[in-house]
Amino acid sequence: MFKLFSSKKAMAGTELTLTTIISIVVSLTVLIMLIVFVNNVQGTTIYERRFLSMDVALFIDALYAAQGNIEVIYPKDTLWFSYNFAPGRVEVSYPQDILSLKEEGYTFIPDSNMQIDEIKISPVYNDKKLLEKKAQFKFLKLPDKIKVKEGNIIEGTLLKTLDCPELESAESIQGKTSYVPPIVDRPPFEEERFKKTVKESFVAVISYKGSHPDQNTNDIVAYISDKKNIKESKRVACLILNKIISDEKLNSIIQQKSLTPITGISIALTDSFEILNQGNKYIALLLKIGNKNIEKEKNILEDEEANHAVMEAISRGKEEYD
Amino acid sequence: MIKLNKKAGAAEAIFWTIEILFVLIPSLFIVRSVVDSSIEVSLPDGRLENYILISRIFYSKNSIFYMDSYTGRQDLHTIDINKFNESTLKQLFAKDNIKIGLRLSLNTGTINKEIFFNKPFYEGVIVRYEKSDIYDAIHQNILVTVMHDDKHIEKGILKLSAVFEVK
Repeated sequence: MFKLFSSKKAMAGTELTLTTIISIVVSLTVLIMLIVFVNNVQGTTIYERRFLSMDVALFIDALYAAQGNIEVIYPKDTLWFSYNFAPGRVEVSYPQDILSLKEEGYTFIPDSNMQIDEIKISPVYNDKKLLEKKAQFKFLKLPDKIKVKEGNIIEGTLLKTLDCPELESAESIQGKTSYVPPIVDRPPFEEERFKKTVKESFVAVISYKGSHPDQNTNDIVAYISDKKNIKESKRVACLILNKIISDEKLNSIIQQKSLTPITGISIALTDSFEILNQGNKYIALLLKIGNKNIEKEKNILEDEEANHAVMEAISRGKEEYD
Repeated sequence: MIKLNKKAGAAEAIFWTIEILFVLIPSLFIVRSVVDSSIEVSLPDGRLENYILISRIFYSKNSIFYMDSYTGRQDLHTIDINKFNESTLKQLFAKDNIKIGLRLSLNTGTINKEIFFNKPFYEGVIVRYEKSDIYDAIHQNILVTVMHDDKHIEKGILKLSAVFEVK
C-alpha cells in the first residue's frame, strides 16, 4: 500500500482517484443538503402563506372596484397565520415556521381617495402554544375608506346618515301643536278622533310596527305625502331617521341585548295614506319601524328600553327641525 | 498519508474551496428558486388581478364616470368630462412602479381626448406584448355618453387599452 503511494507511476493514478473521491464527497454533500432543504420546504407553510397573502390582496383590489358601502367577512380559512395590513401590501406570517420567518406578502394597488387601515391581526395561542382561535377579520368599505376590523360579526355599521334638505324659509315648529304617539301595531286610520287629532296638529309623527317575511330585514321607512309640504316633511323625516340610526343609547341597547340592528332607512313619497293629506296641517309622516316577524328576543319592537330610545330619538329629530 | 509538497497542497486547497463555492452555493440558490417558481406556477396567474384592476376603472366611484351627488349613484355609461384626466387615473392607482399602463381615448363630435396612465410603460409594452408571455393586454371599445359642465350630454366612444405584466 505504502509502496504504491511512494511510486511515481502509482501516484498519478492515486491523484486521479483522490479527485474522484473528493468530487463524489462534494456531490454527495450537495445532494444531501438539497434533499434536506426540499424536505424542510415541504414541511413549511410558504405555499399557504403566499396563497393567502395573494387572495387577501386581490380581495382588497376587488373591494376598491366595488360600488356602494360593503361590510364583508373574509370568507377563507385563515389557518394559523398573522395578517399584517401594511400600505399597499398584505403580509402573512407564521412565527412558528422557523425555517422561513420571512413574511410572505403580496401587493395590492391602493386608491388614494380611499385610505385603508394599517393593522395586524393575529390568531390566539394558549400557554401551551396551541391554537385557540384563528385570526378573523372583516372589511368595511365606506365612501372614503376601507376599514379592516378584527372579528367575524356583521354589525350593520354601514348605515349612512341621510343628507337632509335645508329649507330657505320655513315656519318654526317651536311651540306648535305636535302629535307623536307611541309605536302602535297599526295606526287607527278609521277612527274619527285619530283623524281629528292629526288634522289639528302642526306636526304629526305616527309610528307603527313594520312587517317583512325576511327576519334579517329590520328597516325604518318614513312615508310622506307626495302632494303637500314635501320639502318640510322630508326634512323632518330625514332628521328623525338620522337621529334613530346614530342614537348611542339605542345602539348600545341593541349591542348589549344582541337585538337585530336596524338594516336600512329610507324616505318614501306616497299617495297611499290619505291621513298624510288631511287638513291644513304643516308636516305629517308615518314611520314604519322594524319588523314584527323577527323573533321576540331579538326584536327592538318588543324591547321596552329600545322602544323608549326610538321615541326619544324621534323627539330629538323633530326638535332639530328649526 | 498522501505526501504532497507545500505548493501543491495550497493549490489543491484553493482548487477545492473554489469548487465547493461554485458548486454548493449556486446549487442551493437554484433549488430555492426552483421551489419558489413551482409555488408561483401553482398559484393563479396575474390575469385575474388584471381584470380586477380594470374593473376599478368601470365601477369605482372615484373613476372617470359621472356620479349623481344626490343619490350617490354612478352612471356607468356616462363619463364626467371633469374627471376624464390623468390625475383621476393616478389617484385611482396610487402606487409607484406598477406594471400597468393605460390609454383611454374619448371621441365625440366635439371631443377628441387621449389620456394615459404610466405612459412610458404603456408605450414600451404595447409594441411587443404579443410576442411575449410576460405581458398581457386588454382592449375595449365602449359606447358612452359624456356629461359636460352645463349638464349637456353628448354621445361618444371610449377606447380603452391596458397593458400589464403577467406575474
